[in-house]
Amino acid sequence: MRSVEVFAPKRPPSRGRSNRQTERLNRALALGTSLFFVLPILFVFFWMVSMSFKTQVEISSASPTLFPAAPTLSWYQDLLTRMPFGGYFLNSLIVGVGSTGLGLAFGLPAAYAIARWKLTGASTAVLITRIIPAISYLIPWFIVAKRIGLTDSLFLLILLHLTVTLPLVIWIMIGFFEALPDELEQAARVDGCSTWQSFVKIALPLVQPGLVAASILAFISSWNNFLFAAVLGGPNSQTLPVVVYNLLSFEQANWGPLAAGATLVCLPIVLATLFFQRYLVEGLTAGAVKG
Amino acid sequence: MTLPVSRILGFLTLGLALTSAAQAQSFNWQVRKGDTLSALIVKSPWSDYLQSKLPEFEALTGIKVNLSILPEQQSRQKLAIDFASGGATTDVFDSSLHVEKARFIKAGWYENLAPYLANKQLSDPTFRYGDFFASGRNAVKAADGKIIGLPYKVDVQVLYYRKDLFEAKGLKVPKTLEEFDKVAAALHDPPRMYGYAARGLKNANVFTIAFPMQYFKASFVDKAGKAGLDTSSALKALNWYADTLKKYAPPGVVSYNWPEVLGQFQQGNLAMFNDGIGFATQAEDPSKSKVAGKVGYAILPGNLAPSTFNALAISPRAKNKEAAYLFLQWATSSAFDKGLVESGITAPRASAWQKASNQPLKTIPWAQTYFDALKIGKPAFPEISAVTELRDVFGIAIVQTLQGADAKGAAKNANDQFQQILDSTEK
Amino acid sequence: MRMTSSSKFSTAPRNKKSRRLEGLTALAFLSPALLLIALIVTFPLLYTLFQSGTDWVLTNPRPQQFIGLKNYAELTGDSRAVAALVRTVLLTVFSVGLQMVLGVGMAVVMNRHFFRRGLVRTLALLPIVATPVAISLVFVIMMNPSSGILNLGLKSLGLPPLAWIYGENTVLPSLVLVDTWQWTPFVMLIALAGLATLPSEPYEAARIDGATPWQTFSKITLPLLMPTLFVALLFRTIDTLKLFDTIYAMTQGGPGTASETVNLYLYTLGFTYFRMGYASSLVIALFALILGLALLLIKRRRQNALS
Repeated sequence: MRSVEVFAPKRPPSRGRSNRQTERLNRALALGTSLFFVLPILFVFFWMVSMSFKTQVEISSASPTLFPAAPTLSWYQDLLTRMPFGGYFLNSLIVGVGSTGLGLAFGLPAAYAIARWKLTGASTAVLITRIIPAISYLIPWFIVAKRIGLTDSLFLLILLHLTVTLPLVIWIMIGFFEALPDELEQAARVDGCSTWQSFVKIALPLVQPGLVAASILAFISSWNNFLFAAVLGGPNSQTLPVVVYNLLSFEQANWGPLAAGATLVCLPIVLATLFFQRYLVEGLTAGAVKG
Repeated sequence: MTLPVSRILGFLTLGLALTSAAQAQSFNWQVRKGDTLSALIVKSPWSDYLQSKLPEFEALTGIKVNLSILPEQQSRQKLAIDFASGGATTDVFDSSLHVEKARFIKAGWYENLAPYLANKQLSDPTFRYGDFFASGRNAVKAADGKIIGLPYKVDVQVLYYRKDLFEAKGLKVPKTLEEFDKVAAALHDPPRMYGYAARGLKNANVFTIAFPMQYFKASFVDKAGKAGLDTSSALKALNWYADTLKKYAPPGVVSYNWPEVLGQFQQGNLAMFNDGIGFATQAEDPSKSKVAGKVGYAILPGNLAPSTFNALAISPRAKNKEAAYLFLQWATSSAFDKGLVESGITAPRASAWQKASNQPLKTIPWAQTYFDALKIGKPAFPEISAVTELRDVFGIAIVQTLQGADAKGAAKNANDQFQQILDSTEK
Repeated sequence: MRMTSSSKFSTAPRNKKSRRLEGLTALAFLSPALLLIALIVTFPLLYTLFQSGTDWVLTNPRPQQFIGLKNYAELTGDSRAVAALVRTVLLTVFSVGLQMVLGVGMAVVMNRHFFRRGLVRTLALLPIVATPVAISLVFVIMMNPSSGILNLGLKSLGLPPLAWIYGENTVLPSLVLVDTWQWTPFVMLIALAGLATLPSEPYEAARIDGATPWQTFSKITLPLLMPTLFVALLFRTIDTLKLFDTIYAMTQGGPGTASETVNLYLYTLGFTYFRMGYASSLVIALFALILGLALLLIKRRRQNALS
């Protein structure tokens, strides 16, 4: 089982004075780099959250403060009462779970097959689906949806999001399936297992970390998707990113509600990241590193 | 014994009077009870008011309404997708006539409302179509006499200015562009105060440049239907607009749409700007505007008021056209419009302004200017199919000129592209 | 990308019959996914291809007509499309280039020192998974020329304010900045993962030979890391060529057309001007471009791997 060690083990002990100097330089460099890296990332999120609690006066003040002097929940209240933010949240959730579930259901067997029988052609085909600009899905799908009465439905969005989640699941899982040692498969065969049994009983349990990674990354891709709901969503099928975007284009510089909306949209993802970081890193780096 | 003729006539007249009175009172709003409607509306103060009043409509008619409120561009794009795929997702839609009228008429996307107005079963006798402003009625009439919608908004461009600053410096409302420049210069004191700002954002900016265009008597399309973006008068307008913004507007104005311009004004950093009167309520809202109560409104120099029109229309493929018509009627009725004015929102009916309980002409600071502007207002855009393309193409030229490009070259470029577009769309 | 995949499964079937059974099983496993992909991906692509040969305008009541390759001909003469292409390439080259350099650089430096790895790793993930539209809008607020925190910060440092996304010369660099903020961590993560699997012998040898850090990096680390970095490069290139959400949310292609990439122009053609036929031809052109580039990169990589 390939485990992705993101950080190398400790350096061998240094020797001599020049090595101590280099050591100090390296430490300083590492510290500087991490600050250079950490601060911009943290700052943007911090600013977003901080602004969501500031009053309008503070927001438009010419001398901004880091922390809200008089924190207010009014923007959040605004969002949750003036518009059915909760309903939109639920929409995003349903579409996310739906497209991830379907992606797994269809993608896992496919990834297994590609890994097992080295079907590089199929894996290239999966890569190609990643290349197609999302815009080309819109009109043809809308026409079809009209014909079969699916417009303004979450189900349509689930299908459209599958264009993102399915290739993603397949891509990530190929790496994990490939890492399975073939002795296990051989042993199963000897025991008389069919391919399906070997897939379900042996392969799947062993790639659980990959499953978690693929599921979360697929869900996040669906959650973050903007274009499909923006163009083809109706009053009953708006998802969060579209709602947040509309917050800006509606009234005058309505930064408060926008910051609150942005925070709410990112919140589930940040939480998922905090809990599942290990899996996410493995999933993201799958396919890049030869174990 | 026979009754004398006069008595009979008397009874008949009484009978008729009673019947018509009864008819007038008993117009049945519930003829389409149980129907469901979808309406696609562009977000604005008007849509906010509509949303708040919607339960009244549903109670009155027994019709359920699925209201979809979106920003202008998105709603137009949804509409197009819906119509193009032969769909009937939307029954009622909000049409920005100044952009869509010619195009949608050509595409056959407006249901003709004339028969509905004449239909006694659906048409409320107290509706009084003639009560709408003449310019509004004109705007919803197609060349062949069809009525393509019911007007709900007539917006005119006016000059917004800080009357307190004008008073402090003894300045008068400018009547010519030369005076305008002097006033802007007198008040310009960056970064605390900017003399003038207007929309710089491509596409949006063509609305506000309609002011200098009309001032210099330039037209986007001349009488023969040829593109007029690089004529000498159009160049004068383009140069004036770009130069004045370069001199007096805040940095970044090139990407300002009305929210940003209005925002600057509300924060007290802007002395003058021109835009639709519809934003006045926000300028006067003390919870959002630091200059509420200090705002002056005036007819633009040159006695101009470029206007835009919005109407509610019915899709020809709607499944519930009669219910849709009832909705249109209700949302543009005298009662509804009166309520609009009482909430400080413009309405296109004369009676609304006369009968509103808050005596708008006396209590709303911009009401008088609005009325005066209506009398002289001319449409901001030409009646062609490709208004959006015009606004994009010319809008880009404005942006380029604002950022330092040569106006003549930019305008010629835009004009060539626009002529191409006209040739292919106005066939 | 399983280009040089080593066979992990050596249970190759021994006779023709079991080989056929294997083949059928493979098909059975694959077909649900393939069917779905055919439905939701291939069908729209073919439809777009068909549409690219027509003059369909959404708002024109006249039925569409087949006009063959006329749209493509118009495309080659469309200066706005060509300009959009140039911008797309510029954006991609600079953004991906910056991400690769920064990402690898940071990975290398942070790899050498034992650090709070859990924290850094978690933080690295946040920009990658955050909702692009939401983050872009936060950047719009921060980049506001008069009241945004970025310019106010510059002012406090005594530096002149920038126009950011409001200036036609600064808008593309601003977008590069936002895209880099969001995706450099992705490159860094992949590079770190790659670094962790590097053998230590070459480094020992280098140390004995007295190689400078730069020599170690350029002659040992970088070449060994190439296969890993390649995937990052491929994915980032594809994604940046197609970038839409960020640009749409922040500038809609403006000011004017200064940030109008091919994808943005496509959207305008289809959903603002309603020229569906013409827009379809641009979609096919964009797709062909990205596909060509991806295949080129892959071929290059294969050649490098073999040599």
